[in-house]
Amino acid sequence: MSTDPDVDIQLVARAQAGDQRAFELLVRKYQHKIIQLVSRLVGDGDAPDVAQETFIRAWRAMKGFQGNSAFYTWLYRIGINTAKNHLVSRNRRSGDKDIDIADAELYGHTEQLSDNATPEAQALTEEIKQKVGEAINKLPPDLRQAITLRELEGLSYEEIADAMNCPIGTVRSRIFRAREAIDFVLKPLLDG
Amino acid sequence: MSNQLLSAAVDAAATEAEWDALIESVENDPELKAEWSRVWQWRDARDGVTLAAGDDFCSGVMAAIANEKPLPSTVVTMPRRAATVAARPARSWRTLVPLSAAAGVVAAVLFVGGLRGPASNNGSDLATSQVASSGQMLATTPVSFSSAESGGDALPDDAKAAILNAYLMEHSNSLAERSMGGTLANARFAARTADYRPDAQ
Repeated sequence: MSTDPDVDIQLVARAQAGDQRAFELLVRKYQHKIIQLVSRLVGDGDAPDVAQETFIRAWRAMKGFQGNSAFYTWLYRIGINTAKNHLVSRNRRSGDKDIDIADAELYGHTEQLSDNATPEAQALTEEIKQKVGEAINKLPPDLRQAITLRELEGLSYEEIADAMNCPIGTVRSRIFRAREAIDFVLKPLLDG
Repeated sequence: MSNQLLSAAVDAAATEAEWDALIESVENDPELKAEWSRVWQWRDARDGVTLAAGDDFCSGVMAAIANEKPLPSTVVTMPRRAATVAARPARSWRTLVPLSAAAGVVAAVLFVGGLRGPASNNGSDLATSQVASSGQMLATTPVSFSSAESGGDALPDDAKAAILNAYLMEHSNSLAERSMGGTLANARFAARTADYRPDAQ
């Protein structure tokens, strides 16, 4: 759901036309996933540089993206290859708990790789989940139901409209207001 | 208004025009850009992704991209082979001389073979063809044949093979000079004609 291909399609098409603003939104969308991916392969210290190189390579290759796979799958491969090249160039492997590069591709994008996260990053992640959960629980019932169906159940606006027996415009409005309340608690955590 | 567009966009519920409007707004609204990031940060956290990117990560990427040269928008096509061939200089006399010599040798062998054909030769006549052109031996294969075995043909198979050998050698050398795979053709021919078959003894 969070890697909704329809969102990527819109941004990729514009980025392929040379729109750097659209590509920036893709970077902001996938930066954490890519950093987490490469950090498991090259270590935390080099991960930001390798992740940046991954996005730069993706931009250079953007016109060649055919859309035969999901954008994140394509980006994921670039991240793996960039990490491989980094390891070869430095002629070393990452830490003791490192997994083989070929094996890394078999793991999911989250669980196995998140072992390498710093305690601070893990604490921040947990705090976000807790604060957002609290914020959702404080929402009025109609907003809470709409945002829950969308974010946690993964329903489309049409499906939510059917479930809540209301127009799509109303769903859209409710989700927007719920998201505003969530962003209110997120902003001091992430921008503070 | 832009926040509503953003909310619809992250749910893939925005129209093309709304996407265009959102991207225009993001360019001039850092807060909207930050909100976009926060939406995905929350979703990443919900999905178990650890948030490790610093504030300057994205700006570093975009600064590097901004310094990139524009990507080529056209496909570079290779020149047509015909143009390459047309531009190739004409053969020099160094090439024509051995070719002419080889052709002469072939003609001579055919002529001699015709004279020593079934009408004028019986038993074990020997025709030896030693071919040389421009100081380089093209073929030194002694060709022997018996007119009795040749039947109605002007030349026996061995003689034909020798002639063909000389021709192919010269043809191969000619191709090699033009970098057209002559060496490979020559090697293939040499392997094919090698006397390796026990049943040929």
